Amino acid sequence: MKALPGEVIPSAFDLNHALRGCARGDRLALRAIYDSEAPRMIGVAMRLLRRRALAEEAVHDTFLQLWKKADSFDPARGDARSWLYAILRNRALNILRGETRTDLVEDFEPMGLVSEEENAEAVMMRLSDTGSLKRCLERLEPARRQAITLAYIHGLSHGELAGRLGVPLGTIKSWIRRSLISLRECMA
Amino acid sequence: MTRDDQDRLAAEHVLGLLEGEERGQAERLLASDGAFQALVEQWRSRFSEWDNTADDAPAGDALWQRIESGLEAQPARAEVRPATPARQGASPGLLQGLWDSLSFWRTVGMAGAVAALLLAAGLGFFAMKASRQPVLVAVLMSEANQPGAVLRTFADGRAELTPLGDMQIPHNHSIQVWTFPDPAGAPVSVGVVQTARTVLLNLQNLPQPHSDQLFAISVEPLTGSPTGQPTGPVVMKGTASTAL
Repeated sequence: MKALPGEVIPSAFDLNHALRGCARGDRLALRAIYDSEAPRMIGVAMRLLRRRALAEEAVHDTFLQLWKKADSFDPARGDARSWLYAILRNRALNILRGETRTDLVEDFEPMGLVSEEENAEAVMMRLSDTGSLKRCLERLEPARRQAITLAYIHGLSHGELAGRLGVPLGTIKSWIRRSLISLRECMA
Repeated sequence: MTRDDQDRLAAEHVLGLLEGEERGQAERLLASDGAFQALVEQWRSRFSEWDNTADDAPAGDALWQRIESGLEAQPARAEVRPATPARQGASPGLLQGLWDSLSFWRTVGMAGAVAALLLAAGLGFFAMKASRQPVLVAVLMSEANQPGAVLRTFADGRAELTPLGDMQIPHNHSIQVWTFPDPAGAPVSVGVVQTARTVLLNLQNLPQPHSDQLFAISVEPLTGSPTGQPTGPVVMKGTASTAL
């Protein structure tokens, strides 16, 4: 979301403004970010961590980091929302890696491979038609599209993707790499 | 490393796919290399559309309250920054413009209010700090003889445990903090910790802790030892010393 100086984004919550508030130590600004972003943040963290308690943990830690680092956020270097979600994903992925991963996988194993596959396609259908990610993912073969989607939204590792999709590790790695090149060209 | 390699590294970092050597490499580049930071930022923004496909989950007040109490544990912002940058050699026209600018005066008004709030917060901070001089400090050492956590007790009977470094609590387990009020007696639990961060411990029901009192941490089931005594391995321990 890029706004030109003077351009008004109707009814959009101004995260940049709230971050400046946090940098000044304004707790109401932090609360405003919580009210506006926390539900989505818990949703994103739940997809990675599966469990509500762990997701809340990640969101909790993200807000503490946000509070601490708000004054180092530089709008000239990147989008505020992407900065916020980068902190969240980082924290969630660290929790995910710190845990015994097989334990986390157990939770969704009963759903089986099929529902996972549908899931990745369903996720793609929910992408906005106006953004370029959907259009560019559609150009990938379904299995490759699924691999990269599962990696991002569920935080699956190369090894887990290989197991889930039933292909060798080397194949997964090259699928991902080629998909990235294709996405970069398509989204440029 | 070619630019294509860097780009792939940046994308896989954002996906969370990097392991081992490459993960460290990406973290180093991210901390030091502006061009790499820009590549990472591009991939974050490309993939951010996926974040919008997650279902919202209700965020209750309980979580907010935990966040707020987490803020208390962090040092308050001591630095009061000037609200507007000093303008030197400003032309009279600019000054006139500022004088006439409603938003400028709004900002000044807000800045005044913010400064007053910060002052109030600052006073509270120093008042709090005075009561936060610890009475006893214990550095708990791991088996490998590395400092693993710091425990501090305060005059008002509260105590805090701060894990150090990259303390990891095994999945589905907690760590439980024990102390020995009577050196010859049984350990008494003073807290069960599920996440590695600074937590308050409960020493209220114990005799005033003394220097040389032993503190230890064992790994226990998620809700703590079922028996009231340590059941898992002791992962770190240390004795308290008087804080000067």
